[in-house]
Amino acid sequence: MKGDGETHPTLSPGDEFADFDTWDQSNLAGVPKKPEMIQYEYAREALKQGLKLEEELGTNAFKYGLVGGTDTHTALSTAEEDNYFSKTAAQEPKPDRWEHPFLDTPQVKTPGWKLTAAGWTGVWATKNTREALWDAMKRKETYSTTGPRIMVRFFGGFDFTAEDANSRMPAEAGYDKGVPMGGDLHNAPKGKSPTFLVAALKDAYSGNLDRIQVIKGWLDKKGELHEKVYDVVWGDADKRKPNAQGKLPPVGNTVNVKEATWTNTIGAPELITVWKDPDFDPNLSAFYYARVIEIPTPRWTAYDAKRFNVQMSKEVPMTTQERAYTSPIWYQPSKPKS
Amino acid sequence: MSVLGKIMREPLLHFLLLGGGLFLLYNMSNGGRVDKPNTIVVTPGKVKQLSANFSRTWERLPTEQELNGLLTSYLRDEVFYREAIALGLDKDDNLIRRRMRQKLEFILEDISVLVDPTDEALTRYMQQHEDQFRLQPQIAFRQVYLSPDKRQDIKAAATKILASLNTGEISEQQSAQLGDQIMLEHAFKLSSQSDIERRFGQVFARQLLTLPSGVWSGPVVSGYGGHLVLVSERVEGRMPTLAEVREEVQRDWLFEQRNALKESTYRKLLEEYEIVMQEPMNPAYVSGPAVAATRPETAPR
Repeated sequence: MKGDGETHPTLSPGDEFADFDTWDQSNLAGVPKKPEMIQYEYAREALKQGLKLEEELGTNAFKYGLVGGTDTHTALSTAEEDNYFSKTAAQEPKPDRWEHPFLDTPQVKTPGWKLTAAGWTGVWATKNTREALWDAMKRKETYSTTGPRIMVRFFGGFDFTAEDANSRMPAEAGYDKGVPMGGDLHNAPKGKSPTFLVAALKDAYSGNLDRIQVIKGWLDKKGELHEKVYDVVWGDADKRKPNAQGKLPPVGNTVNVKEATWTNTIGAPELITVWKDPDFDPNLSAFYYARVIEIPTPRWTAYDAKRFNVQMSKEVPMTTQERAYTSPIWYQPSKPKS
Repeated sequence: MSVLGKIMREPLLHFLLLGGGLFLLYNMSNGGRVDKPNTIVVTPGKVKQLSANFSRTWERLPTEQELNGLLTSYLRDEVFYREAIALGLDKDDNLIRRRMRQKLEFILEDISVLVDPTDEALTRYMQQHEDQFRLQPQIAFRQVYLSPDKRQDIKAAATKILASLNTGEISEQQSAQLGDQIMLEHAFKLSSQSDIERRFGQVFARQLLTLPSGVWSGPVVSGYGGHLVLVSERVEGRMPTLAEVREEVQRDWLFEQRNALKESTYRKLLEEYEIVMQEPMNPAYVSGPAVAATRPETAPR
């Protein structure tokens, strides 16, 4: 509803996907946000700070998994862009909800279009029972999406090979040779770097996949924190190559805003690969998580504009790139004592 | 007092009074209230109860000091409760009114559970709610995926692979090798229509239902691309027998009964009251008590 909580453009200036419907104007009481508050509010930054705290305190207070939710107060689980029932009854479907203020205080005005359609949590449980779901969440084997039911697999280990990606069932090699999302790696064997088996299957009803990225955060010898985003596999790879700076060109855009439609003629229905960290230092603690990006599809505002035949102002975004984020896999030089 | 007199003849009320009497007896034996209004007797039973409540939360017995605290708090409750009632503070309090209504409704709910439905009543209920209980068709199938990302012409590829698939008996191991890789099972066991929809999308599931069994056909289009499919087993949708879904039907039936009992009891009680409107009611305002009582009964869901 209020964008994602992964990271903020000012925290991750090098990340071109860092700004997903960001809400940083104020808190819910309308108190304007100050720049120094931002660092305490996003998941990636806390994952990084956790590495530092662990060095100082001996335990990582921010070792958590990733989840998504609807954040609705309507009792409806309506996460789809074309079935947008918004956050509260005040923004239920009607022609003017895009401009009707969600927040209206002397300092801050937040129009309805700034609200985002809801998200989900994916859980890799052994059974569909309360106990098994609980256990899976406890071991952080979860991922979050901004709405589509994208299926994501993410395994880390030291022995994955390209061959492991040639499978309908990547999880077989995944569990056999590594740990799933939410897991831990330590004591890298001499001369080996962590390898990650990562795979995503699109939502049958939603857009194709643009790319999968692995996001790495680490603590260097001087105690400074870093992050880096790697594009690890992408759609249309036959004609889409990174440029000299290593930047992958955008996937394109097939959205017909007027009709609120798109075509799955770009991107890929499924992406899978094995990726090896090219910058690995076995003496530094780090975390890795995967982010899956969809091709552009119509945002709820585009469906509203068509359905209610309203003209929205220029600033209102009409397309979105939905995504999924996995829980991290952590690497530590030595196994913790506990 | 004539209202009360009439109500007194209600069998339901007899039941309620009987139940209420039991509660009262229980309270007197346990709660330690006696005739003398300004006496609070703390019985050993009360102490045990306080201690048991504590253990339920903390999973251990209270210490001497904690038990003292519980007793002090209990006495404070009791004294204030009695004084507040004496002052009439329970009157005109929305929270208390709501709670009293709720308690009465809870008793009605408990009574409704006492009725054991007959098979005929449940069968009738099931048939009246066919949509809710109808079993969906189920299909077991194999699928060979054709990726629009990897193939220029899916139709042509489909024709070619179909020809080889339909030449003779092709084993599951053999057909699993064909087509393009995707993270979907090759062979699906009997799955309901909605399960298939969830994986492949509605269009695919609907088309799959129309296909003949035992022959490879397609491409059937899903959200992922094209699929050649072999329907290996099919179970038609049907109404279940009562025995298959008895528990579910009974639960829903009971829910309906419970609401009906609440509603009918309310209406009966309401009949005993005369509603005096001191100002004429605006016809647009139609949610007054008398009107509510004549509202058509809606089937709860």
